[in-house]
Amino acid sequence: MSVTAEAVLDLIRVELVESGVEEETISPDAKFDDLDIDSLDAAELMATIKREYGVTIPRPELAGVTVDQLVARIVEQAAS
Amino acid sequence: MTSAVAVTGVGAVTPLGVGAAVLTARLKAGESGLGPGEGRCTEFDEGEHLGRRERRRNARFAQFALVAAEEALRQAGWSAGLPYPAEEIGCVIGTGLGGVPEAGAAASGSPLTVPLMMPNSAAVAVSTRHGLRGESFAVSGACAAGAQAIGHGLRAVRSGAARAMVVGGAEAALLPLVRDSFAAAGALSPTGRCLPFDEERDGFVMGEGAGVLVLERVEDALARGAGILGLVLGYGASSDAHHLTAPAPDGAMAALAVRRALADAGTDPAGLHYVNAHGTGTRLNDEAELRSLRLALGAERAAALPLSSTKAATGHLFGAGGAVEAIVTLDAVRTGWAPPTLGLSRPDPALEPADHLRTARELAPPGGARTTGLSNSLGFGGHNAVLVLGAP
Repeated sequence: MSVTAEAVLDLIRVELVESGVEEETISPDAKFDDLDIDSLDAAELMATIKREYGVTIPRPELAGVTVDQLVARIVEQAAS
Repeated sequence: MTSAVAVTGVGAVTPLGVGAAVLTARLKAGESGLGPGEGRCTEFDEGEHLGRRERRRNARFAQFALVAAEEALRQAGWSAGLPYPAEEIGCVIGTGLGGVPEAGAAASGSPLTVPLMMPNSAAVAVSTRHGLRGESFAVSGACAAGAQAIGHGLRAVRSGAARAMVVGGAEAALLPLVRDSFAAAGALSPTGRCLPFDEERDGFVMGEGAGVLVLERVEDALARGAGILGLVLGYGASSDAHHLTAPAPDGAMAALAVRRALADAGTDPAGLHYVNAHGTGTRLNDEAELRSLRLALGAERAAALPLSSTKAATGHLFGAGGAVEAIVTLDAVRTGWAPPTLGLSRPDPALEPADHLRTARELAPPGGARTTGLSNSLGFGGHNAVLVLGAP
């Protein structure tokens, strides 16, 4: 079963909102660094992504990445 | 004699409700916060008090501490800003078990598992929310932890190590695992009743909650026009060095803690008007505790001093107990009315005699002195921690 971008984006939204991020700030072109999250929120999100999709993204590689780019990368890695 | 420290704010979350005033009012009205076999903080709605991130980032015990601290700091008049440099205000929150993994993030090996479990996480939460930048940590002398935190706060303010302290205790461990363990150890009441000092007592009932107090120098409190709710006059502590869970039956070290607390307060048994006992309702605690009071206070004074255990109405709050009971004792000496040992009908004749309060009672006028109470906390492992608390 292939992983869709919509499903990944939904999961990220749900996780970030659960962490206390305002939902309207989570747009596809929002930079990850600019969201109201800290290192623990990011670690939680990465742990969830690993559990759901088996994809590991090293923390330094989140720098400068937009939500959309993150989603694309997860979809790509999950497919490979 | 060493100087007293002022209490300018108190806050509590207990099975009797959210708030220190509801706690003391309901205790004196003879009401119980116990449901079937346990004392749960059913009135506590985390969504009402905490933002989403604070709820997610804090185990239940730390959430209780946050809410109790908010109340205490508001009452102290600290809400609009800290009255002293932040670096000079410390925070010590005691706990027995810390953030016992319940469900969700904590129990599934997430990045939050460890931060939620850390026993110091309540102190982190309180110091972070209010920007308290003096020393902060958890103290963990089991069921004496809350009293130990206040004792540390007293010493820190007296010595000048801190200008002011936010201290207390928090616990939330109403889990099957913990319940089963206490039951297997024979400490939990199999009938689900908490009857301290009664012939029919058969163990404690688990509770949960938090109590937080703001401590500052008396002269500072007066200078900034703060209301003083009472005084922490003295603290004494000792260890049984006897057993992992059972108290030493002779009560000798518990008595030493009482004597040390009285000496630290510069008073003596005649200067006391009320005892808030540890009074868990286990066969062993109540026997050793009353024996220790006889040793420390003398048979005549121990028998004549009004005494009650409020655990009968709150359940055993473990690491929060000492702090919540200090708040109860402060209210008793300030108002001159002490709460009863709820449900006590037949004091066990095998125990040392005491003047058990079966209903709320007006304490004897102190005759020009300060109305003064003793709050006893005796933890699993033999940690004895005793506070002497006075009216303003």
